[in-house]
Parts: sequence; structure tokens; C-alpha cells
Amino acid sequence: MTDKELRNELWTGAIPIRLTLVDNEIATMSPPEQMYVMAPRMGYLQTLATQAYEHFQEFLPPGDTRFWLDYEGLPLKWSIPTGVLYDLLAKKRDLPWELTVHFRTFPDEVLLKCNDSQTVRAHFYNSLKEAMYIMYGSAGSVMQLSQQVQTQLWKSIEDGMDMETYDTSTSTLPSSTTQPNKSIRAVPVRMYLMGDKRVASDDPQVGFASMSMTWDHIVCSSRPVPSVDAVNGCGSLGNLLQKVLPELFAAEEKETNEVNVSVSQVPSSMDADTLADAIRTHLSVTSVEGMVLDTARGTASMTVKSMHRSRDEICQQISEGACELELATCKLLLESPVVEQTLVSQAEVWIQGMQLPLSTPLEWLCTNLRHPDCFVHLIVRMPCRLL
Amino acid sequence: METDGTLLGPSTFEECCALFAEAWENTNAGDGSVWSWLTPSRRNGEEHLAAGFLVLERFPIFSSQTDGANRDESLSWEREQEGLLEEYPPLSSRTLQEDSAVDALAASAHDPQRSLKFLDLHIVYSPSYRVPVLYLRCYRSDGKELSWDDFDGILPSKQEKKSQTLETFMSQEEHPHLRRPWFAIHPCQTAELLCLMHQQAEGNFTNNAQELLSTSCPQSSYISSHKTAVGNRRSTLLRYMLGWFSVVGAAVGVKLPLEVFRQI
Repeated sequence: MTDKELRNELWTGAIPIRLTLVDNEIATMSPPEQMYVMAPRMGYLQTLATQAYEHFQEFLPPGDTRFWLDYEGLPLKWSIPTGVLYDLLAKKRDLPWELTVHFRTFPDEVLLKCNDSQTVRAHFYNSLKEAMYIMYGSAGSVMQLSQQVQTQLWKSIEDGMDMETYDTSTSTLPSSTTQPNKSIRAVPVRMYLMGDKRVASDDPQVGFASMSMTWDHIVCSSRPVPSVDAVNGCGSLGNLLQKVLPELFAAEEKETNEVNVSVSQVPSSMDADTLADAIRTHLSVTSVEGMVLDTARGTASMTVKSMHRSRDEICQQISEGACELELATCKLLLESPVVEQTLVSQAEVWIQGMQLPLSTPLEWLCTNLRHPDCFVHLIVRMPCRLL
Repeated sequence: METDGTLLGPSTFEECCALFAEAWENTNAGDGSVWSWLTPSRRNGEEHLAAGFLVLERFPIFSSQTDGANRDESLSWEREQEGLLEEYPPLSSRTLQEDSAVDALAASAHDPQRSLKFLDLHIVYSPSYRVPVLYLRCYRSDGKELSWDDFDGILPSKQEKKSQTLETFMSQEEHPHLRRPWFAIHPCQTAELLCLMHQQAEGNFTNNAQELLSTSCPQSSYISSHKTAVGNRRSTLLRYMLGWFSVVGAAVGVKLPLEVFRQI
């Protein structure tokens, strides 16, 4: 599957949902029929409000209505895209996803107030601005969109994910697909860490049903993540998680003494053996392996190993600016360290409904798996004790 | 700002908050109410937040009646510096009968012209924007919190620009530390605004402010250029905070007294 096909898939992805009106809001003798709907993964549940109201209207008691949904008693935050909510909360990924509709007793202490889809629209634009700020250092490009374009852009999401209209409306943004490779400062990541009570208990006596989820079991955060930061190791999904939550990884990770090193500005006269010798001496390492020398580009890459120094020590030496080789002005660059990464059991990482290899580069995630608000929504489900 | 030359890092933010709270207290800007630094425990996955946030609680403000009909524009949300609190006799000495039964408690400090309200203000660090963000809630003297609809139309910044909707600068957001819905002033233009203010303050006056705002601003310039001397750093950070608060505070009707700027 090409990246383009993947993007198409994501934009057309939807989740079948069955909506049931909450018992205590049924004012008629016979209960209403349940409502079935295909909800776009990258859309927002709040946009179902009108449709749901029309469906359930005649069964409701008179009075003001404020639409909200719950899943097994947990009020759903309307600001989180539908697919993210599903990946985060639906246990056993059951379909259709069973949600309960409410039009009364809006839980103000948990949910942000939401009047109508205009509130969701405002939230969407705030997210988009935040993402743009993280990526390019300014949200100006979003604020310069005309009212007409802003309306059109929001419509493309509200009315069921119209990728073509979205692309047209966002063509002036630096993130636009027509301006590929515009370098970004950082990847906007919205992270949801969920300590799952349902998998956490070591005590088999504790019943499954007795454990209800609350938002206190979930840490939601938005953050800029450096896309290239070899020294701190932020290049891949695994590196990011390692930094945020080291406990997420199995303890068997062994002390490694290998570092991948890239060299640029290699003089064309340089041969592999001389370069290897120079690097071995310079970094005081035991061996240099897997040398790939490209004299045309003046680059080389290799793996260095040391018997008596750790990876961190070697990395530190390089990061301290000790990067001028005696033979020539060569620049040493550390590649993202390749560390064997294994998640602890029962931990899962989900993006766009998929579990991806931990070696996936963040920049690729940002280009291909981001939501219309330009954030990468990243879910980590893990045993409760890790939260 | 620590590493890559953009705005505040979380620890500089903490430093800024301490300086701001000190200057506020030294000049008695809050008539006795002071800012305190709260450090709730951070959970896993919250390591990117600052270690804490700055809190000012139960800050009294006076506003005109909220239904726009007979609003006294000159008084609305204008916090008067002296004496107003004293004008209000203790609650016990007031008669409640004259107020409607339903709204008796809420109206106990209610005057046809002005009503007493309280603000809780939190200054919270935004990792995305790398600037301080003002979170707030407002409640009446009976403790009832003002809703979004109550806010709409009574903020001073709203009154000045009637065409501007509340949404353009304020929204309900989840408080990063408390994880509950709060109101927040949008941080999306804070960096540009401060950049503009400080460029002017340093004499690099740009005639075409519009141009400055639309192009990306060399955000590092003013803080990093002052890194050298400790005193300079202190005044730079304090000027940054006071400049910031003079704008966002005014948007919710909390004004800084002039003396506080002498602390720079």
C-alpha cells in the first residue's frame, strides 16, 4: 500500500456505532428503536447530535436538551476524535460500538461545555493552530484563512470527511500535501496514556464488570516532539515512548555498547580503511563495523563497538562537539540508537487503529498518520500500575 | 529558550512566576491577595508540564449587572484600587428580604449597579506554545460559578470590540494540571505579541507592526541577548511576565498598578 492509498483509507475509515437512549430519559411507554450510524474515525461524535435528536426527539420528556454520550458509564469527551475514543476505550474492540445517548444532566464537571457543532469547530481550529505553532513556530497561516475557507474546511470534516475539500481548503497552510518536505520544528503529538484497570489486576478474583473506567485513568497531553534529535533519541516512535515512559519497556534491555554513526563532509580521496582507523582512534572504540562509504556524497555510516565504554559515553563524546577528525574536517552524526525495544506485557500502542512497529520514524507518522487537526493522536494502553 | 532559542522552557517559566509573584506582593498589587506556587504531583506522561503553576484565589472584582440594558460602561469590570471592599458592609448586616427569595443567597452581595464576583486565576505553562497561559474561573459570592453564557458580554475586552466574539480569545479548556474544564485565554498569539512588545521596548522599533506579526519573529532575540548578567536576566524575565499579564489580565479585568513596573 502506498502512502497515498493509506491516507485514503484513513479518510474513509468509519466505525459502526449503535446508539441507545438512556433509560431514564424515555418518556414514552414503548422504548425508541436504537440508532445505527457509521461514524468517521477522524470526525467528532458531537456532529451526530442533530441526527440523534431527530431520531429520539419524540421519546424525550419536554425541556432543554444537551447531547452527550457515554460508553459503559464513562462520559465521552467530544473534543477527542471518534476513532481515538474507540481505540482508547472499546474493550475487545467490539463492533458495533455500543454507546448510550443522553440529552439531560450534562456532566459539566467532566466534559467541556458544548453548545453545538460550532463549539467543536472552535476546538478544531484551536487544535490546528496549536499544531501549526508546534510545526512551524507560528499559527498565522491558520488565522489568515478567510471565513469562507474556514467554513469550507470545517464542513469537510463535519459532513463526513471529504478529503478533496480538506486539501483544497488547507492548500495555503505550510502543512499542505502540495508542499512536501517543508521542514518542521517538531511533531505535534497528542498522547493518551491509559492505565487499564481491566488488564492491570493481578488478582483474578476481582471481577471484570466491577471496574468502571474514569478519565482519571487516562492522561491526555499535547506536546511538541523533536522529529530529529539523535542525541536524545527521539527519532522513532519507540524512542519517544522510551523518553516519556521508560517503565513501558521490558526490563531485559541489556547494556549496549554499540552506536550507529554517520559522517558527513568526507573528502572524496578518503578510503574506508583510513576512515575506520581514524574513527576508531578518535572515539577510542574497539571496532568499527558495517562501513558504508559514499564518496560521491561525502557521507559514510558505520556501527562502532566498544569493549569498555557504554553507548551513553560514546554518544556523549560525540554530542560534546568532539567531532573534528584529524584527517579532515568530518562531522560525526549519531543515528538514532538501535536499541532492542520490547513493551511490557499487556501494553499496547495504537495510532489510527493500528499497532505500529516501534521503529516507525516520527516524521513518517506526522506526514502520513496525522489527523485533520495535524496532530498525531497516539494511544498507549498499559497496566494501571504504570500510570 | 534554554536550548533552541525559542521562548520559555518549563524551568524559566518557574523563575518568571517567582519574580512576578514577588513584584505583585512588593507593590501590594492585589490589595493583600498574593500568588502562590502550587506543585501538584505529576503523573507519568506529564513530564513535559512545568513542575507547578501560579495561583491567585478569590480575587474580588466588581462588575456592573450582566444584562447589558443599564450597564455602566465606565465601571464595568473596572477594578477600583481602593476602598470598594469597605463600601460593602459585612453580609450579616445586610437585609436579605429585599432580594427575591429564589436568588437570595446569590444576591446577598448584589447591588443594582455593581456586583461582587471572585476570580481564581492560574498561570500555567504551555509546552506547545512555550508561553504562560492564563486559566480562570469566576464565581459569585455564593460560590456559584459563572458559565460561559454569563461570561459572554461582560468581559471588558468584549465590550471594547463588540464585533469580536468571546471565542476569538477565550475558550473552555481542560486544565493541564487539574484535568477539569476551566476557561483559558488563547495562547496562540502570545509569543508574537510579547515579541512585538519587547522589540519596541528595546528600541528596535518596527514601523510596520503588521509585517512583524505576520512574519515569524526572531523569538530568541530579547531573552537570550540578556543572558549575561544576573540582574539583567531578572529584569528581562520580570518585564516579560508583566508585559504578558498586562495584556491577558486586562482581558479579564485585572489591571496591574503602575508601581509594579518600577520593580523591573
